[in-house]
Amino acid sequence: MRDLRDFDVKPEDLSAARYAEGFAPLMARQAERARAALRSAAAQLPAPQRRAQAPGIILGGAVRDAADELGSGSDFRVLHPAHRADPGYESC
Amino acid sequence: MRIDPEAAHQGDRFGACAEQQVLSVVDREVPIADPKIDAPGPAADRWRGITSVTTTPSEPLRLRTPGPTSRPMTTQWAEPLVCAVIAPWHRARAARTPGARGDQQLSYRGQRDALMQHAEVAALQLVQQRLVQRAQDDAGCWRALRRRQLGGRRAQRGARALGLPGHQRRETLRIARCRQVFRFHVEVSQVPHRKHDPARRACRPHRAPSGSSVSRAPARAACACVAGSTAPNIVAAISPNGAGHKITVLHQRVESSNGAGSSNRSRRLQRKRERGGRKPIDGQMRRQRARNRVLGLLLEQVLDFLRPPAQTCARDGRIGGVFDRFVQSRRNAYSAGCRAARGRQKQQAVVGAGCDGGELIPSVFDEAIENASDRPSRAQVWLVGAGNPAPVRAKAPAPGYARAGASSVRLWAFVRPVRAFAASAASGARAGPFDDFDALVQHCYLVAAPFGEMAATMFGAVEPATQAHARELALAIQMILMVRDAGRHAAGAGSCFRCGTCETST
Repeated sequence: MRDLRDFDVKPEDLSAARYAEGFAPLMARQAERARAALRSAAAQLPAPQRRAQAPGIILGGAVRDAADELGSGSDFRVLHPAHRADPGYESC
Repeated sequence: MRIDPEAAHQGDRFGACAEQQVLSVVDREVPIADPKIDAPGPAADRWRGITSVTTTPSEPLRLRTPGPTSRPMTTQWAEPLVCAVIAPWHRARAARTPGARGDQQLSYRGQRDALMQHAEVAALQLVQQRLVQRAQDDAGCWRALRRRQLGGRRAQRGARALGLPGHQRRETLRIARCRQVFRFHVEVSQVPHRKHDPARRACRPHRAPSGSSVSRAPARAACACVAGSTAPNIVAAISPNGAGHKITVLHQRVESSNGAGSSNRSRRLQRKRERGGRKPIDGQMRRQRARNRVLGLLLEQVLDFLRPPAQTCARDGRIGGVFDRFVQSRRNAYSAGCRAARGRQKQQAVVGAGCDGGELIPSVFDEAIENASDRPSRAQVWLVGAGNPAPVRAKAPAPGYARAGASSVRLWAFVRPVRAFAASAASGARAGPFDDFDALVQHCYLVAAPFGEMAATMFGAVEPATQAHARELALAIQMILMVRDAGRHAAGAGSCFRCGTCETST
């Protein structure tokens, strides 16, 4: 809610699937936080464990690509369900 | 039991050859098992005069007697008959079938009937100690012993059966690595007389001295000793004393035949082809396979829990089912034989009791850790993954234990994230709205970090840093997914956007 107020995005706009002016920067900020978490995860992984944790590294890379696709490819036009990076998984 | 430290100087006493090196001498007192057999009598007195019998493969058995007066013969007329008829017949029979070590009948008899009362006790203990696989037939067991198919493990257990200390076990293990041992030396001093046993007929007295039938029993004992010993370089000497018989086990380093390695390899390959290329499965491999099987089953359960997201949410009842199945799989692992050494079964029982009723009892784990010794056991290493790393870490578990219990740690490390997810389910994780970013991070941790930890554990993570990496990675993935599903999230107000049926508000 605080981020919504910072970027002047109303919850009604989200419910109505309207792209407010600050929606894209809001999503970009969230995506940047996610990328920061990815970088932090990569930094915390011990070097001897990189081979064993290769699936996680690959999954992190795939999610980073998905974030890049959402940002640069479609400018975070996510209110309409056209973007499905992995149809098998959904957030909760 | 007495271990002679001056064993290297006793080679002359046992008649060791020049190329043989005496490693150790172990004297073991064996009480008289059957008084009837060892009762004094004229037949037994006939043996008392023999001071030592030396047998080598290259020369026939030699008797060293103190003199004709100390060897009373109760049947004066029998000796010429034996020398003229019986002994040549035995020599001819021995010439036809040289060697009793590969005789299956002897092997079978030797294992079924405890005919080796003295020096053979050591050999029988090898079978009683389950040195060979029980699935094999008896003769196969002895053939396996003779052919050294089980290698150092057999020799080590054989040394244990003989009551040797640890350093001598290692010596025996090193000796057993010698290939194609062809020299052996047996000295039997004063073998008491025994009843005539039909089973002993199978032990052909091919090393009997000429002209004397009385040497058959020492020769049989020597043959049986060699045939049943754990390795041909373990030499047994028997001497009676007041209470029983003293078995002296003499370890000798024996020569390896030159140029026999290639033939041995070819024979081993031939036997491997006959077996169908399968390797014998030892206990450690069985335990490892059981762990892998349990891990595989657990992996299937977790993946089954992760794959269909439409039916899985924070309040889904399947969480408890997965948790119960996980605990049950751990129980099955114990029941299937995935156990550590016997001394640790008590701690394992404590750990098993902590999972009673499908729920983990943290107090039981805490009690197990508090009662643990300074040297952490494998059960304690398991508890590291059970969410209690601090006490065990303070005791600095040995690297060997960590390696030995790595798979178990992976198995048990599922407990903590499952418990965390169960806690999130019990608290009713909310999907939003969130007041600030910290609340969003907390939500992402509850719904994603346990799975990240579980996945990292499945991939072999046991260090806290890797678990932190998994949590951060899961947090990042969850945030990206939330950005991606923002439209559905906003459209599904009033219900969980994930399954659309639960009452989790958005």
